[in-house]
Amino acid sequence: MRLWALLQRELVIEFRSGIESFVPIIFFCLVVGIFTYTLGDFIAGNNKVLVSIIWITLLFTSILSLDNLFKRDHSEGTLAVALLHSDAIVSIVVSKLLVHWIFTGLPITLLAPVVGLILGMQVDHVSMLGISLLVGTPTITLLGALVAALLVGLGRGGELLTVLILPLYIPVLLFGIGVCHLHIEKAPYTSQLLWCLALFSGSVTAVPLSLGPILKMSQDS
Amino acid sequence: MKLVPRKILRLASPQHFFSDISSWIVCFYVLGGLGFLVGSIWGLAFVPPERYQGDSFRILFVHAPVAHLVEMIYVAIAIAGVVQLVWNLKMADIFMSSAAPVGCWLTALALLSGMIWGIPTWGTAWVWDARIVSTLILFVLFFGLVVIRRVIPNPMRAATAISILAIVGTINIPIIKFSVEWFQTLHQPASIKPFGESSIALVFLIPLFINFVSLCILTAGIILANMRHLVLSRNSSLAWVQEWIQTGKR
Repeated sequence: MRLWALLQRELVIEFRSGIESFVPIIFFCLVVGIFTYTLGDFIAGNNKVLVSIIWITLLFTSILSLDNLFKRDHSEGTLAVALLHSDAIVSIVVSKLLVHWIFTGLPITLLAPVVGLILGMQVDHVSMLGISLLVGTPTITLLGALVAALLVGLGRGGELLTVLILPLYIPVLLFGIGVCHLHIEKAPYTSQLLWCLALFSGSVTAVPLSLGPILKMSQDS
Repeated sequence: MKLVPRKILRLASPQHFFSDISSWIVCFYVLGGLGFLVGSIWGLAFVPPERYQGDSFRILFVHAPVAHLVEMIYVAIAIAGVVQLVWNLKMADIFMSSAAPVGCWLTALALLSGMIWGIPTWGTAWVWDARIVSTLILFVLFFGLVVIRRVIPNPMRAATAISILAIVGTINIPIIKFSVEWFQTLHQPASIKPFGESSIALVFLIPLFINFVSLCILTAGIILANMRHLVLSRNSSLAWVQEWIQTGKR
C-alpha cells in the first residue's frame, strides 16, 4: 500500500515535469544518430558495431540522468524527512529506482530494437539485443544509484560520478555486449546471459538495502 | 580464547600501531629490497634467454609479480572496506586510504611494463584485449578511491564511500583473473597453476617466485609507512602526537 502511494508520487512528479523527463531518451536517440551518421558506410549492416554503439550510448544516457536521481529530493529537503522513517526507507528507494528505470531504462529497452531495425539489423539479432538490454538496464540503474547516493549533496559530485561509475558499469557492458556478439556469431551464449542475470540479481538484492544507510550518511555533512 | 595474539590486536589502536610498527617497516624494507635485488639480478643475468622471445622476456620478472600484486592489494582494500562498514575500525579506513595510491601506481607500472613487453613480442604496445582492459579498469577504480577522499570533506562519509566502492568494484577481480580463459585474447593464459602442471620451466620459476614474494614484502612496507604517516596527520591534535613531536619518543 505504502509502496503504491510512493510510486504514485514519483510517477506524478515525473509526468508533471513534462519534457524534462524525456531528455534522456532524446539524448539517446541523438547520440546513436550521431554515431551512425559519422561512421557512415562502415556500420551499414554491421550488427556487432550497432550493438556496441547502442550499449555504449546507454551508459552515457544513464550517467546523464543519474545525477538528478536524488538531487532534487535532497535540495528541497524531502529526502531528509523521508530518512526519518527508517522502516520506510527501502520502499522509498525502491519506488524511486523503479520510476527512474521506467523513465530511462524501459524506453531505451523498447526503443533500441526499433532503432536497430531502422539501421538494418536482422530481426533475431534485434530481439537478442532487447533481451540483453532488459537485463542490463535495471542493473545499470541500480549500480548507478549506489554511486549517485554516495555523492548526493556534493558540489563537484557530478564530474566525479563519471569517473567512479564507468568502471562499475564495465562488467555489465562486457557481458551485455558479449551475449549479443556471441548470438550474432551463432556461438553458445548461455553462460554470458547467466552472468548478466547474476549481476542483476546480485545488485537488485544488495542495492535497495544499502542505499538507506548511504543516504543517511549524506545528511551528516 | 586467544585467536589473535595480543601483540597483533594492539595494532588496531592508532597510537600503538604508530609506535610498534616502525621496526617492522625497516624489516620489510630491508628484506623486500634485498629479495627484489637478488631476484632481479638472477632474472636479468643468470637465467638463460627464452627460446622464442630471446632476452625481451626478462621483463616478466617485474610484470607478472606486479600484476598479481595489484589484484591482491585491491582485494585487501575491499576486505578492509567490509571491516570498516561492519566494525568501524579506524585502522581499516587508514589502510584503505594509504593502500589505494600504492595500488594506483603499481597498476600503472603493470600496464606500462606490459606495454614495453608488447612492443617486441606482439608488435604493438596496446591491444584492446579483455585482460588489458580489465586492468585499465582496475587502474580507474584505484584512481576513484584516491580522488573520492578529495571531494568528500566529511572523513566518516568519505570512509563509507570508499568502502562501498571498493566492495562493489571487486566484481572486476574475477573478470581480470579469468579474462584469458573466458574471452579470446592475445594475452597468454596463466602459466603457473597451483594445481596441476605449470607450463613454465623451473629456471624461470625460482627468480620469479623470489621477486613476487619480495615485492609483496616491499609493498607491505610501503603501505605500512604510508599508514604511519596517515595516523600522525589524522591524530595531529591528540596529546600523544604533540608529545612525540616535541620529545621524539613516547
